[in-house]
Amino acid sequence: MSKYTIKITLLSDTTFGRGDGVAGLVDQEVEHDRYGFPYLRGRTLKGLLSEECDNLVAVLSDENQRQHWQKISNELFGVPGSTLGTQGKIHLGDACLPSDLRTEIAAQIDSEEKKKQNDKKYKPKLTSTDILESLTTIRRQTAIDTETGISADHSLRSARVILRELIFESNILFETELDENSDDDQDMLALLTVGTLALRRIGSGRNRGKGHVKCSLYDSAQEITKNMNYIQRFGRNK
Amino acid sequence: MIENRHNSNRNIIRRIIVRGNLVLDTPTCLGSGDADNLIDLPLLRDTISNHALLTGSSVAGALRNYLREHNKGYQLKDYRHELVTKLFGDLFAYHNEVNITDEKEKIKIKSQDNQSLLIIDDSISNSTIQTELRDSVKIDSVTRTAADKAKYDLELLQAGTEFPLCFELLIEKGSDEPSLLKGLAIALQGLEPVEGLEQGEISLGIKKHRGFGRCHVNEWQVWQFDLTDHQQRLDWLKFEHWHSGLFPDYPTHTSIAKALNVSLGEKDDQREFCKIDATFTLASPLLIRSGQASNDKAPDVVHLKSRRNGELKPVLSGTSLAGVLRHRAEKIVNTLTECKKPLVTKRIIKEIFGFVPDKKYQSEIEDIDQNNEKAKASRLIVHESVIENTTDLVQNRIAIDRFTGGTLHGALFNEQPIFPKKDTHLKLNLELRNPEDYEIGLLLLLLKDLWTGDLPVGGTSSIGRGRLQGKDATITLRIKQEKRKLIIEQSENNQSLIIREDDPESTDNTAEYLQYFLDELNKELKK
Repeated sequence: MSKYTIKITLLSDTTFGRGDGVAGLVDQEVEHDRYGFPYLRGRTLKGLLSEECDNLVAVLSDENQRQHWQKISNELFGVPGSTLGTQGKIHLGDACLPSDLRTEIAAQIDSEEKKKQNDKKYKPKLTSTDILESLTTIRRQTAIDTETGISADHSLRSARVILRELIFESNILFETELDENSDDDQDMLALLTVGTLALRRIGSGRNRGKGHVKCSLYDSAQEITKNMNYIQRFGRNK
Repeated sequence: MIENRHNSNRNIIRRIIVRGNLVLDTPTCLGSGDADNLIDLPLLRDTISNHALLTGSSVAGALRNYLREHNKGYQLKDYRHELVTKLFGDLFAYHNEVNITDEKEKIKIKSQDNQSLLIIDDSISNSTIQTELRDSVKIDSVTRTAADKAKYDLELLQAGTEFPLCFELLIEKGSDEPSLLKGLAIALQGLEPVEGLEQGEISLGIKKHRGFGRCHVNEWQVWQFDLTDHQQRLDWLKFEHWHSGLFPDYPTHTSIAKALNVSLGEKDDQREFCKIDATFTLASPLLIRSGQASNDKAPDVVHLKSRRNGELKPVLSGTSLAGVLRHRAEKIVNTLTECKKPLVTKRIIKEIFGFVPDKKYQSEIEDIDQNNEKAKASRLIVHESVIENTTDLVQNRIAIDRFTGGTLHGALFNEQPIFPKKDTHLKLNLELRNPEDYEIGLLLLLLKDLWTGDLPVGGTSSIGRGRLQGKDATITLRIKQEKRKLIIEQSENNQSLIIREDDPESTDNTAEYLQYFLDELNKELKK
């Protein structure tokens, strides 16, 4: 099994949407775990990565090239309609904040909750809401009615955003060990590399400034997204 | 043949990245919408630093609006399949599609929706927030004193604040690239300085119809990536998108149209307006009270000042001038109708200056607005003007006890208005969008009152402050596909006015042309 890490640095405030809101507080809540840590689902991340890869493959001008890279993409991410044969080689974990931070705070919250269970009057010093509020803020926006020039009726929305400059990490596992001498395996890694580089916007409102990110791919030793060999490998003329 | 994993590829064949540095020319309020703050309208701050935040959605809204106005005219709605919609994405609902009841048809229409092809990044100001506080109060037009519970304050970003902007236009296979590029060029051109001025036509933030939020972009940088080309694709993948602002060793352009290689003609511009750019001088001291007292010893009342290039300059604020014009317009219409048509007055004034239904006079509103009118923004744009070459002098005043005839104990106060010098001048810019002929007539009467010093601006007018004196005015009219530029000049006080056409070859009688608008006003009021 080959293991890689994808690092997502938020360059602007970001909403990893959860699809619902909190009545009376926000219309759009971010995905967060029970300790209040926001995260991006691995399933979403895979979708984003595969979309970027497919976008890059689709514009290759040479027909043979495109077929080849489409095949690589299919092998890497799988084809819809799961059978063993069409399954993707890649497994992505949720993109989370650093795990040492999370375990430490989770332990504190757990102990506070225990105290609360033993003593009903005890006020916990740290709750998941505190964590969520320390890592996020709320942003509001309205639309302007073009005819009257005032804010349009029923258009005020509020969305929670994750503070910029936080770094999320997701683990990527390949089902099989990637072979350094196998062309196909190296192509797969090259495609993943360019896909990671192309992934620049994540989450809600990504055409309007939210969710601008910088992604980089690491194996155990070094950053692959800096390795020109992989980047140039993609779509080269054979 | 290998099947595509799915056929929803966007087929983005080109990416165009545009960058520029936005500079604010007047104070700007990019509000956060936060209700629990000491200030009525606090600024939106970046989440992790004390820098101001200009959201991508704000910029997008401003650009979208400008492009639509340019292509179609003011105060119109968006429709499906228009250039604006293609470039900036489909709306949640179009007003002509709201009433469709057939679910199948609704879904069919909705499935054509597209997201925006233009990505606009959030922008964080280059420097920490430098604020300016502006207090305002509504003046009751009848008593000419401050209205009850109508005071508010704004937190404004100082002029000179800079925001790095970044746009990315995606061109999909089969899309109409030339028109998209043209749309982008027109929209961004709204940020470029207008000929002869420092500011662009687009304003940001709130109260932009009162002169706040004017801004401009001086330089653009453009990158074009053809993704079907191996080398250019590599260049895009390696593009250092995480650096904000302009790149130091990359060519810059002053015109976005040239940078994108599109030609823009003036004939596509569908906006109708009447613009008045006038130069005035002060005929008397002027005092617009400012809310913020200075830190060191200061008089009780000081004239309003605002920072320009780091220097405190006395200003005639747009809110102040607009208020004065509104009340005078009301007076003019009332006079011409002999106060017999209060509803006509209300309608005309509201139509020009905008209004908010006032809950205090709910019963009255129900009388007037049979059709339950909603609030409306002003169609008259009044800009803030800097007053050049003035002196500050402090005047001490006392109140007289009416009973004894002596000075009232404890009623000594001092004021610091600005006083005119030899070459004191200020430029007033008014713009009426979608003007009716009679509204232009009303505007001309207002200009006349300002010109002759009959209409004082600012406070303490009853002791003779706040009178202006006109020097020259340029009236630019673009109505009914016709564009005319008229000039009014007065060389000396008490000399007669010279009214002429900007075009020296024109033989039209300019004065008669202006008289036409006044006649239209009289006709409208006699109806």
